[in-house]
Amino acid sequence: MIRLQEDLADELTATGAHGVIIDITAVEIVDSFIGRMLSTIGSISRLFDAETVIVGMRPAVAITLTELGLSLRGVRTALNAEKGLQILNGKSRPDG
Amino acid sequence: MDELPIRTGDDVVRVRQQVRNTAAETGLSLVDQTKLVTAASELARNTLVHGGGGTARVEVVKSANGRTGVKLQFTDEGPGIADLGLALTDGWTSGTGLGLGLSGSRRLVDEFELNSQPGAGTSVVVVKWSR
Repeated sequence: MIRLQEDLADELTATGAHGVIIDITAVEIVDSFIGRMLSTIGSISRLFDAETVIVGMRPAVAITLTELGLSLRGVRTALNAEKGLQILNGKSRPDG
Repeated sequence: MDELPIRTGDDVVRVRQQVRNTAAETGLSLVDQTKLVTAASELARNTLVHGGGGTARVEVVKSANGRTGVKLQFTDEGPGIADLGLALTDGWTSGTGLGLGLSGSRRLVDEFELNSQPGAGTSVVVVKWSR
């Protein structure tokens, strides 16, 4: 996981990207450990002026996260990669 | 009944898999499986990080009125918890996490029992019933 954070920081520096999309379609559970990791990725990205969008969260995971009390600070969420890109491109509002 | 060691991060993954398999076999809904596995992950990590390692027991149980459920017991011989009320408070953390491990897991299960004393280790028993 530390490896992922380092790779991400390197990549953001190299590309100057303004957005990060993390697809968690394959993730069966998000506990506070993984939640904190996702928030950390959001914080790191923000230091490079990049916004993080988590996409593909399973319904059961969303329900469990809410009950657990986890709010995933520092990241946004979207239904899928396409909608995540819309957010990053500033087209998240229907009238935008 | 299965008893699994919790000594490493990989053991936490194995506990999660065992709980998932048992919950699925017991007929818990997908949401209830996810809740139980998430609680198991929190509690197993507590056992590892705060208890210095321990064991997890995974068991299928039947209630008096015939319902089937999955019972999990996490036991360690670590330093124990001095203030159980405080440890179960949302947002209170001993320093390494978000402070949601115990309080959050309690909300994810149907039954939750925490026993601990300073110097005498910690035991957490949880049950999730099928609906």
